[in-house]
Amino acid sequence: MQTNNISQKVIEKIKAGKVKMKPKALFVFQAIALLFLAIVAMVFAVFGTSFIGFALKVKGYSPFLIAIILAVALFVVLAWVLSKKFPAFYKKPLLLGLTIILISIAMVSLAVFLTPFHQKIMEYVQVNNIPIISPLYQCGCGCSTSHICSLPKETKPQPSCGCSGGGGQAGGSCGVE
Amino acid sequence: MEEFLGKTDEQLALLTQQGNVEAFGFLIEKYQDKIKKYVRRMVQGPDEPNDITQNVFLKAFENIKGFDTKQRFSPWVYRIAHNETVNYLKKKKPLPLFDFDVFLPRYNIDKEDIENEAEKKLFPPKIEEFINELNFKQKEVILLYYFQELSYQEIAEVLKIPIATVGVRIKRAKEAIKEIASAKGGSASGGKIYANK
Repeated sequence: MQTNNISQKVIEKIKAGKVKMKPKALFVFQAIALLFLAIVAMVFAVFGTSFIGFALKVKGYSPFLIAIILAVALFVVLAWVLSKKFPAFYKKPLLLGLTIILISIAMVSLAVFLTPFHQKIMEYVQVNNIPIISPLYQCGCGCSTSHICSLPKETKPQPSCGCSGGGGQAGGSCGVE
Repeated sequence: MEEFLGKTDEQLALLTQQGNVEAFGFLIEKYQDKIKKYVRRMVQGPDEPNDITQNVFLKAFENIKGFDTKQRFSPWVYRIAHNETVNYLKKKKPLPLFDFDVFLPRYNIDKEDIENEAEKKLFPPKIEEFINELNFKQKEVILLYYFQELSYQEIAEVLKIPIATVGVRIKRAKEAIKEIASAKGGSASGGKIYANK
């Protein structure tokens, strides 16, 4: 009769109010939050990837880009892990899901890279100081309010601007106009 | 309880969502033996199956409003049972986190594999003792497929893995059982597993 006890115990606990149903709104909120986080992770990954392309175009390689690459990898993994919560993804092999995410990020990043998006931000941060964004463009592109960068059609690699020492303050001519 | 006799699990779940505790009681009556058997085979302890089964239904009631009544109820409740079992087993010993079969399952499923009901019936009850020697993941798919009689699709829903991975795990589990059976004096022939006990 142990089995019946399980049924009885559960019903007794429910009727005594020891166990209560979670509201439907909570599950809706969880699903929305999950989707939102996955989208945010994808957006950051796209931003980071297109920024890498832009920084390479403006300044060329700099060790700072390694940090951006790692950040992009982190966001890709986060998007991948979150996507596994959705049936469309967990029903597929994980490699396929990861491939879909990587291709999506690569394609959207390429589209963003081809627009003047980063150039507009770069121009903006050269006259305005925005937390996180300004240091990002200073270190990645070697541009700051004191080192105005342009985006010539034939961009030459810019000298290092010493991000660790204050971001864009050293290194002479960072494409100074 | 007679009022619930003609209703589907999903209709009973809907009634529960609307506050009908008796409907949930009917669902418990329907599933408790199956869930308890599954849990008992997974954890192999004397007292734990009852506690875990009870927790499964308490969790099911707590989360019933998160259940989409357009979906099937049984994979949903087995999913809770799976989570409770995994949580319990993790306290005892760490379970493998990564499974390459989920990453890239190499398995072509055909119709025969997916719904081979005849093979399910042929699966001998005596094979149960061999199952305990399988690893956690293989054991779970075998229990869900042969003993709980869930389809590949439903097992994929319960474990949140690709259907092809279910196929791979069942195939490997059957191979492993054949090896164990032959080592212990049983036999395996024609793709079926028989225990000479």
